[in-house]
Amino acid sequence: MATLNLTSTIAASGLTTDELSSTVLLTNASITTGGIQRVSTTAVKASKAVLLDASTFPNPTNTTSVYLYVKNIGPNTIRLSVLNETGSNEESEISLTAGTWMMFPWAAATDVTMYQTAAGTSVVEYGVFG
Amino acid sequence: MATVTNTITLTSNDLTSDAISLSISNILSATKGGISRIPLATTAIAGATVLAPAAQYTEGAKIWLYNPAARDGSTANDRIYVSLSEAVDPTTGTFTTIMLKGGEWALLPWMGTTKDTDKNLEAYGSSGAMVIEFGIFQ
Repeated sequence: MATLNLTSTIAASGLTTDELSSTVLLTNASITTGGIQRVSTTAVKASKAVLLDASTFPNPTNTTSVYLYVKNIGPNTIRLSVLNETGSNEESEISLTAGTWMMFPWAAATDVTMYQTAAGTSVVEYGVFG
Repeated sequence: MATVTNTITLTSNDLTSDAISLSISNILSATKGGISRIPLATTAIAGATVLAPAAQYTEGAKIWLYNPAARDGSTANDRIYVSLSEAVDPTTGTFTTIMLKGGEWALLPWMGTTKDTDKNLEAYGSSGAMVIEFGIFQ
């Protein structure tokens, strides 16, 4: 088992009367697989690409979790379906503009698919830890 | 215009042969938002608590979700479910939501109105009296 430390820090000035500063550390010592890599994609909405095959990752249990990190290196906006969105609806999609990223616990129940909002080739950096 | 800096740091010294150490930040110019703790009204999607109304936000909004409950580890009673679509797929249940166990957090963009259909951001808990810490910035 390996230990994964995930820290989130949010700092805001000028948003509210008092400045915001929030730091939360999440430590998970039951990690057995994971790593970070980059892939390129030419996918567009009509032909989404599978970024992650859910069948290759275990579902989280009461004692385990799976964490997903995705960063859009660019240049195009990437939209990801991560919540069993198998149709073409955008309601459950997450949009990553170039240079932005996300991290959250992933159910690993259905594939993560992705597409660009404009034709071209984009690069995506991702990591799955579970 | 306010400045909001989001940073995540990911480290592991023993997962791979070489230690993993990743730190990335985004700086967002925001005009609205903040962080607060919100009690969740239900334990199902019906009547779930609206964290953010879609009509007030567009693509580029950032959301922060944190379950401050203690990690249970033996039951599923420490979970918070966040829906981007005001729904839970009956065939796959809670897999259509972002699930946060006690102590877990998420940081991600949210599209607000920039979708086929406007859907509010909603949350519910796995047991009564759950509280979510929620932040949104745009």
